[in-house]
Amino acid sequence: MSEDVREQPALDIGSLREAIREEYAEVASDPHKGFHFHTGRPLARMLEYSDEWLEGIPEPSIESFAGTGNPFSLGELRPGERIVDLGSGAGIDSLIAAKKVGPEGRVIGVDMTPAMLEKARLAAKHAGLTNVEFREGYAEALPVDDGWADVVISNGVLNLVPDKTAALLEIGRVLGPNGRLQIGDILVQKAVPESAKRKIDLWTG
Amino acid sequence: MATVVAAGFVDFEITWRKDVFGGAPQAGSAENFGTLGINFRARKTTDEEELAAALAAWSCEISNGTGEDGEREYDPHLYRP
Repeated sequence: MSEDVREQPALDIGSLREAIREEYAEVASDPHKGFHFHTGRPLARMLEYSDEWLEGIPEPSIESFAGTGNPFSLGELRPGERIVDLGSGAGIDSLIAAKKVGPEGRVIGVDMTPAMLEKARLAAKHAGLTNVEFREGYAEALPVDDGWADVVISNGVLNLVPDKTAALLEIGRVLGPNGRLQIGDILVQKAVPESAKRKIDLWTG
Repeated sequence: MATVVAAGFVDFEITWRKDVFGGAPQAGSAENFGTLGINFRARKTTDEEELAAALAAWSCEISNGTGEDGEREYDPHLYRP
């Protein structure tokens, strides 16, 4: 075991989740505050979201957008398909997905931050989309039936999940055979020391 | 990639990468690690047979040293910068 691992206590999952929840509650309530990541419509443009996708999406949902990629660039969501949006935040991707799959399709957005869930539900109501619902839950224990989904999308969330193996296994559980994974996330180009992985402020700040 | 394949997915592919944090209102404490936004996709295997074949192929790639491209591709311990 290296020196730096011994110096740091094990990552406290509960504290990490609480810190992430606080951070994203702020993105929900004060999206223009200015964070260490871009947000809102300028971010959507940077990530190559088309204006057509954003048509009819309520502004409160767009302004709290904090993704890192573009799940929709990875493959078409087809009418009638069932989609899970992992870490749905203020709902922008779930609502875009709901438009794409149409009234015969279904979307379930899952998030662990109540402030984001509230914002997403209100946005769905204002958009008049009845084929989408938002559920509280964790990536490692999705509140979705086995094999329910055709596609799991996610954007800027898996990097925040402490147990990525558990999350990926859970995604596999909710996907049917041949189900697709379309994810926007982040990649690090340099090795992250074990000590850094255990610092909550480096996960969130 | 290892985490994705081990979880039962195939056809893993990173299709896009970009500096999506540059110019953000606040500096991130993890900037030194060279974080990039990425898009990646994969497909759940159809059945156990396809999964076994994928795992075997992946094991061969690792043992032949062909599974690395110098970057930390989807490091299972990534954190948000």
